[in-house]
Amino acid sequence: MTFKKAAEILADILGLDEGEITPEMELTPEFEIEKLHIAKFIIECEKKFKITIHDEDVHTFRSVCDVVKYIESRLSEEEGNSCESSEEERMWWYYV
Amino acid sequence: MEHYEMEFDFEAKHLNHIISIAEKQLADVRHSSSKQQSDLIEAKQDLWENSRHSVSNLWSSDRFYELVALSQYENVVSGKLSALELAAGKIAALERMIQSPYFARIDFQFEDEAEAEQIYIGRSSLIDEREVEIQVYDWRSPLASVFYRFGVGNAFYDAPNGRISGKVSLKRQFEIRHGQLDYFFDADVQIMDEFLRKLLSQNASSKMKAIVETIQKDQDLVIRDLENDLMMVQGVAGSGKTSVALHRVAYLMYQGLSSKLSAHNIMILSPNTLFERYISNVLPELGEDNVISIHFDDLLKLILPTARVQTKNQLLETLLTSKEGSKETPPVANDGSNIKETPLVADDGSNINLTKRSLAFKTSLEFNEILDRFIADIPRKWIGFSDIDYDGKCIASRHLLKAEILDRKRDIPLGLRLKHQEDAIFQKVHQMRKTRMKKLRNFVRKYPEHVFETEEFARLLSISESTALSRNIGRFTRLDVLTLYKTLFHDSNYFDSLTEGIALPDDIDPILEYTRENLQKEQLAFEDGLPLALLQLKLNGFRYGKSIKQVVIDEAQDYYPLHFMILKILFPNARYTVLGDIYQTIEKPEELTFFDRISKILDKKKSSLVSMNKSFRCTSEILSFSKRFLRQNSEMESFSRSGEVPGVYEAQNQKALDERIQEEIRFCRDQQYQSIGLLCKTEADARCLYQRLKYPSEGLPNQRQTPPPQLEHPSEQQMQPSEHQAQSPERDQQGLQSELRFIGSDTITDIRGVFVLPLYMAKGLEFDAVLLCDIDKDHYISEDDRKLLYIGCTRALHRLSLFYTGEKSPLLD
Repeated sequence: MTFKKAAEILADILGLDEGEITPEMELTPEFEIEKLHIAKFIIECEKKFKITIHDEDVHTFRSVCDVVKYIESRLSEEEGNSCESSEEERMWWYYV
Repeated sequence: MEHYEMEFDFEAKHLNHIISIAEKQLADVRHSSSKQQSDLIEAKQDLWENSRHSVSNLWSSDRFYELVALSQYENVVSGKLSALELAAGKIAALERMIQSPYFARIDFQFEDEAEAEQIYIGRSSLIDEREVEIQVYDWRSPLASVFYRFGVGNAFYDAPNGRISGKVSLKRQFEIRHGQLDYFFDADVQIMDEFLRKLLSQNASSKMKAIVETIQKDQDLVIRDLENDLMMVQGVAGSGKTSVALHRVAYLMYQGLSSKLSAHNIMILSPNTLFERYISNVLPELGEDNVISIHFDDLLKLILPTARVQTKNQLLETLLTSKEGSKETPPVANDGSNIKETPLVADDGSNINLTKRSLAFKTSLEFNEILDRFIADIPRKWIGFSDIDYDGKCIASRHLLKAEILDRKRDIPLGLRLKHQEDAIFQKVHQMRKTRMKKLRNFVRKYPEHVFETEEFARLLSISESTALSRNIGRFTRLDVLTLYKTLFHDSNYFDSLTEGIALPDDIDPILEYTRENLQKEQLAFEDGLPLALLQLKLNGFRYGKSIKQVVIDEAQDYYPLHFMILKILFPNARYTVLGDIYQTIEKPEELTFFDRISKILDKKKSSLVSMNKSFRCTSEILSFSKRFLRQNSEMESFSRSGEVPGVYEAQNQKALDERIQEEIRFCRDQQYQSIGLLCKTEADARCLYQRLKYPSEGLPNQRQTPPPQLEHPSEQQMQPSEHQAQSPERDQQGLQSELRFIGSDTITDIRGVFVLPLYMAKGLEFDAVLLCDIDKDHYISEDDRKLLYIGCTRALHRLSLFYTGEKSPLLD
């Protein structure tokens, strides 16, 4: 489970209990997450999941959940699987 | 009569036979489905025990085998699930079948056969598996079309492998309730009409259930049409457009069973929830969740998720409540000097005529052309390309970037071309990143005084410079549609430069000024929402997950050319069914050329326009009363069913008016009318009336002095005298108050009850009795008001009454 693994990494960096990390947790100083923590988080995620996270994409991550989604899409991209679209997307369209 | 009894006996036996087959099948399905149910529970437990993890975390290579293993369990579960769902559908269909397995029979002698075959027609088919015999034919099957299209005599139908001819020797209709045969009759046209008349005189809710049985020949032609990519129907009020559309959807789905057209490929655009309701009431086998029904306002929200756009109803409310609007067409143009010579901006800031002309212009094909020219101009004029540097080198020059965009294939939307450009720049960046990171690490090492780890700090620097880079690039590769739209209007000279050879309205300058003002506001005007959505689609394109194959548009007369442009881009491969009544527009005049324009915009290979002029909804009296509000000469005919002459009632004051209205409601309820609509001009009026009736004035004034309301055109049937009212207990009054419902911006989900609602929201609905309130000269005077009255009157099935106090609306004369 991507979230669980990512949460482990982040908890380790922040010195928190794994259970204290939630998907909604924002990557901001309010949650005591500094920029350097983010850089570390990114590096560790790349190692763990064996993917590349592009630096120009990092600013789009608002919360832990965003990172998890990004990792999942990278994973499936690298696997050569097209991203599984949600029910809503299947019924509607999305902008490219 | 003896013959009838013999036949009745035969039919009753046949009915029992069919029901026993259905019951047997039902028992079988129930048995096997309960077995499946327990299998499913077992399979689910298996799945749970074998996989404590969800599927999503398995998309990595090292867990591939787990994924495969898990998916096998999954297949077992989902396979069982769909079998169960299938069984549930079958059970429901069989249960309905046992209640009423069929509604008609034709005896059809195939050309090369000696004897006629008895064909029973129902809402779904029943096949006796043992004898491999079709006991009941689905009404949508080709053979069943004979029932709708032919009388006794020669007939034919088109089967998948060609036309099949034969002879109809009997046409019979049944009334079967709760598995019992009530009666049947052999139909010739006259009796059919009698049957229909009887059915139509029922109340709205019960009538809905029986439509399948009463499809008329011309309706049937529309329903079963598969030839045309664009089927347009001009149908007068009450001609059964909605029911035709619904049956067409049902028919297309039935056809689609073989051609893989699943329900999700059908989209219905409708301003109300009628369709969902009809589906659940009339054709439950369609399944309520299977067809996407959506309001155009919501479609706009999907295209422009962040914009707040004025809804159509909000627009109508603004137009109708404005005083300007009511003065728009003075009843008598007496002295040639037109006082209302379209002032540019009215003192209250809301000039209805300007709004309307602005609306008409910005939703026109001319404006579409201007948008296209503007889009071509955007990369030349309105995108600020800039040089892009990375790692101390210029990796893209602004001139080259611009040239690239201008040269790239024009048929790809601009937004996509820019996105590709952005991707290409970042690809270069990615190639250079290793070198860059090395430099950053060296840089960090040079300053050993900080406490951070080199790797992280270098990464942090890279992230922040990449963020800045991404923002720089985004400044020209990400299009902000609203800003661009504002750009189009910001300078009148610029706007002019795009309009060469395009016919503009005379007052284009005030329209531009008005638009600029509106664009400052937080909420987007309706008239800007449509072009903005179109601009978004044209600029950013879209990818469609599963394409829609059929689009049904209800109340199409309310749409503007830009609506159809948007639909054309959204659903390019769909076939369209467009239903409307050009006599039922409110804020714009419409003619038959409306359908030509649709046909041109949607540009389909084969299209056809069908007119349905017979109104089945209203009584002849209501229909002829309604016709006075039509300016154009409509060819509307009524299906002759007579009722009371609509009454126009005057009251001396508001108080008396409210009492008169309450009296009328009580009368309607005594008549067992199930749906009663109190229609007011605007939402504000409706709310006001609702408050007055729901919470009658604190402290009753002495009503005794109020003279009894006057009856202006005495209808055939006088209302009950007021003494009768005096007897009705207070309980009755309270019952009325609790039953009263107000419909504002929400749509009605059930039409049983007493409703107060604005007229424009009553579009497409029908009520057993309609009460039109406030028909005075303050409320109803303009051309728009005339159209509203037409719409209001034609909502009534059985009884129509109009109420006013003060001076009567001149539109009534």
